[in-house]
Amino acid sequence: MLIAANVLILLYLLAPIIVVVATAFTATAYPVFPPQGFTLRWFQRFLGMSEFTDAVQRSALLALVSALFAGMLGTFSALALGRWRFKGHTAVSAVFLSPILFPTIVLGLALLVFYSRIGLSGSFTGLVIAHSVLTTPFVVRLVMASLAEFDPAVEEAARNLGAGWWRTFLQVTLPLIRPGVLAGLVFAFIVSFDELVVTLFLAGPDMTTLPIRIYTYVEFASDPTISAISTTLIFAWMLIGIPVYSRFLSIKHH
Amino acid sequence: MIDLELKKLTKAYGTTLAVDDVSLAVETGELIAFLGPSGCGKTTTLRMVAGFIAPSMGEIWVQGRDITLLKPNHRDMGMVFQSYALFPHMTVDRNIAFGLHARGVPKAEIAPRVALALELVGLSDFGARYPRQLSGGQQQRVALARVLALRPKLLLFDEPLSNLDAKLRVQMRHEIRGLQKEVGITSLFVTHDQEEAMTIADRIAVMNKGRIEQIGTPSEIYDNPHTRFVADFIGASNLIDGHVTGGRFITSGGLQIPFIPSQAADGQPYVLSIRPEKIEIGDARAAAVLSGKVTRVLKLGGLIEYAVALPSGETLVLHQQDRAGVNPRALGDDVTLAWRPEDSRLLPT
Repeated sequence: MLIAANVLILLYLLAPIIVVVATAFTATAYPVFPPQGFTLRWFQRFLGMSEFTDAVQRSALLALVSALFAGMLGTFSALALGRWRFKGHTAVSAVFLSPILFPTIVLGLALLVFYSRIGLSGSFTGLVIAHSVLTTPFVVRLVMASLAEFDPAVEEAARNLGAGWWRTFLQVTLPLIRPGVLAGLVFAFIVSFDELVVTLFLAGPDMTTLPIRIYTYVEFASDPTISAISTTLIFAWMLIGIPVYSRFLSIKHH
Repeated sequence: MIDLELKKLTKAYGTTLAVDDVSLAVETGELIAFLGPSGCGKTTTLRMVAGFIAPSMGEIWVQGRDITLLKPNHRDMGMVFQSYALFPHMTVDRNIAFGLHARGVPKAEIAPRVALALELVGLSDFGARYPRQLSGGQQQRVALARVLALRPKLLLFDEPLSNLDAKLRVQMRHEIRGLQKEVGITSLFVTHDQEEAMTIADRIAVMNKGRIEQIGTPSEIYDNPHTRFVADFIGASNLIDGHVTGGRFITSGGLQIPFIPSQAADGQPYVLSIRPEKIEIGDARAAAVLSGKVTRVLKLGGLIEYAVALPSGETLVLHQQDRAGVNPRALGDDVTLAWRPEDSRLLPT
């Protein structure tokens, strides 16, 4: 009974992915399910269109830089929030986590107004900052969870043994919160890579990311190229993401 | 020689004083136990010495140098934690080498010093293990080796045995004391366990509400408590409120007790303190000075504990050795009580 329910839930979750992957191979000029015939034409078309491949590279670079930036900001914020007790601690934590709760459209509009004043609109730096704002809360959350798992006395022991703040962080704290930091980085990368709304507001014509490219493409075309792109991303995640996930992020009990 | 000196050390949190004007001089090689109930300020004091908490007032001097403002990593002390605080991602060897690296010990010296420290605690074959592969007692030995390898100026113990089971605790107590004597490093040992403090320390500082109530050798503390708190906290004691008139102690219940030390000042209120093992129990006699009725009998291993209700309403607890030839009493027996005047103490109220 339980197994049957689980299979049903899994099917429900996987159905959209199965449909998308299947339609990527259809020989028809539009996505149909079940697919008719078999062709790799849509993959060829995707890889042959520089507007898509450029967008993939740009999105990947943007996601990488924002994730690293968010990873750094988030880790140090989490350290401060997790290890120091100060007045207004709860309020500060709430502020740090609030970007998750903001409607992204509000954030996009706010940043657009702000950026046009300080001359950041349409720039790569501007997008990195915006994406970091969006993704830092995930890192803070995940690193704080990791911090809560280990005994603060371990850090004190390191200080007592003669290690300065930096050595303690690099050799003791960081290795122990590594699962949280890596999970945060992966999360931040995915959120940034996938981000559309804020990016729509901020990206200039030469800053088109993959989500924007897909979004504009489907406005006037309906061929299965998009399915091919999605399928490629899904397989890329399975090849890179899942091994990373099971190696570093799975919960290990000492 | 004085190795460690605390001068009017004070820590305030808002308006509450966690540590209140603590002064203390510790001789080289001495082991001082800080003993007191939770919240008495003993751990805060230790953490100020370690440098994890900044004092609100006062100074800490180590070997003639004021270290009050020094960072914890520059204090050259070795701390052993209740939770062991081993680095879970490092092997035993690397745990011990960590401090040596951090303190800039030459590379060639590190491996031999790690091996020596492990030998000292009897864990020579465990260098390649991870902390999680060791028992609690072994982990605490590694924590000990980790600080001993540094040959620090001071050893700090923060309830190091509280996480161990009773038998192991007693064994580790002797091991720690043995090692501390062997290396001769001045030590502070925080504990809430009075038996632990009595057996491990050269001197005990009994703390209460942020202050040191009394400091002295274990036998001084036990035999000559200066305050009601110390008499009550260390061992068991019967404490009776009253005052002295004409060389006799009049309890607040109105009973006259003649067995008191002679130095008492007439008319003064006092607390009479008498240890349970100092009271002798006898058969009821008409001429008895102190008589009462047995209201409780408990067998505590080799001792029998009686509670005896006095006619004035006060109850005294006493211990009797349980061996052949003693006359055991039963519930409801009428008995007499007596003790030598020099075994009782009159304490300020």
